[in-house]
Amino acid sequence: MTIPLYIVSILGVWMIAEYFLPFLNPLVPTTDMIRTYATILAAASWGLGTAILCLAHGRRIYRQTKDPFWGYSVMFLICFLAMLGAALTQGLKGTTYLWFYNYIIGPTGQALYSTTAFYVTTAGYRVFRFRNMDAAVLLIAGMFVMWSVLPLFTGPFPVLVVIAGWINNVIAVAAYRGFVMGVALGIIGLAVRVFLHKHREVLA
Amino acid sequence: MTEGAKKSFAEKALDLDHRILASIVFCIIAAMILYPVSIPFPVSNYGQNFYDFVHSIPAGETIGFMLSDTPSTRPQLEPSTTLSLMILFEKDVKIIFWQDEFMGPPIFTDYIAITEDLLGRELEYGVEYVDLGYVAGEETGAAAFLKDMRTVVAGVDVDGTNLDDLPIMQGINSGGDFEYGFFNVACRCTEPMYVRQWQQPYGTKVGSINCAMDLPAITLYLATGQIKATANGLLGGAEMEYLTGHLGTAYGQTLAVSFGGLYFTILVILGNVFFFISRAGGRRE
Repeated sequence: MTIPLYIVSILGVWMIAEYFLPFLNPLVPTTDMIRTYATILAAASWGLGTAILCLAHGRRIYRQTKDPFWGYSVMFLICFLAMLGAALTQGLKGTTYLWFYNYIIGPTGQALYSTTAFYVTTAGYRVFRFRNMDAAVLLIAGMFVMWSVLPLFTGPFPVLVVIAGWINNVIAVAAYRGFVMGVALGIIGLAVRVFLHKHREVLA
Repeated sequence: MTEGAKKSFAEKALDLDHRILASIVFCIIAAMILYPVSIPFPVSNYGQNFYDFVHSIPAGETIGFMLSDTPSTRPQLEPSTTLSLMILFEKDVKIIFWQDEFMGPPIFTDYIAITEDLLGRELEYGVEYVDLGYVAGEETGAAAFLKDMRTVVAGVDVDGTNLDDLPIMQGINSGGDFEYGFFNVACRCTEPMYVRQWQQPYGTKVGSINCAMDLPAITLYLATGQIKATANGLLGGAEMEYLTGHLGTAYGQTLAVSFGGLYFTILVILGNVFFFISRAGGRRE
């Protein structure tokens, strides 16, 4: 556990030093090489993740009597092997691979995403209420911003675009900048903790 | 309220079944897609600025385009992406593509086919465009790629062709070699990543094609000019269709979403009316 933490600390400090301290220019080629290694490691992690996923589902199928949902694992493996087979035999631009993608993955993803419309509609009826002043501000600002992107409202009432523009460009920008700065400070604090080995959970 | 007490009309209305509310929104959206009606269509500043930005790119320029749409965001972003590509290729702009999302490559293939349909001709690979493929590693990957493309992609394009053999890649190896660039990042709110790793270090003028829900994340950078323009979600797509005269799916969907928004507004008003009536009657949540 100690050696990986030291690697994280050294590389993290190295990257920060190279960025902020111009006199460390000789480090640049090495830093670039480390970044390139990072992309290779990230790509390799897909392979590792896929292998672990297959092992987990394979284990579920093997122990089917203990898991009532093992049938889904069978489906996963069938789909995985079909996609893998299509990619390996015809390449990523092959007709079979693209057919799987365009006619199964695409519509499924779009259908799932579109279900949010139904939940948002119900939430609007049940949750979007003048319960208190905070909720009222959220409700009014939210409605103006929503109306401003719908031609049915902006056509007859162009002033909605002006009001929503002010909400977006003044209030939202100010709030978001504060949020971004807060997150940045949080990340710096977390990084310092990781570099000092005070946050060992980062390596799970 | 005690168990078994008789509910008032307002309380019953507040407890209306989710399935009824959802069925009505489905009917409204389906009706508007099947039987669209014409409504006034003002173009927003975002839409006009994006259209102007695409047109401001000089003919013959070589630009970078990070195109990583996903199946679920494709209905929102396909029209603005393909119509931008159409305008750019019409101006003989050369485009170097890559993706930072694993779902991106198959959609990229489709987008090129759609753009070719819009143009009415085939694009010449290696001369008019090149695909450098998927770059893993999120922000670190983007930083490394924009610093030295050849090293990160091992000197070859997605088909394994040596980049030095492709005319479009002559003199191009880093983000600084692009005067202009675009990123389509779907709904991942990673636009600031490209401001940090592309616009800021290299001074490239960048435009964003993004979901409407990403707008708050990029408004900061639009305000400072670090992102020059945005095609904002479905409305951005409809505006591109309107401005280029290629009315299509985004325009129709915008009408449907408009009427969905009207229904949503009515529900919010009714929900509040019933809420206050029931609260006046002594109901506690």
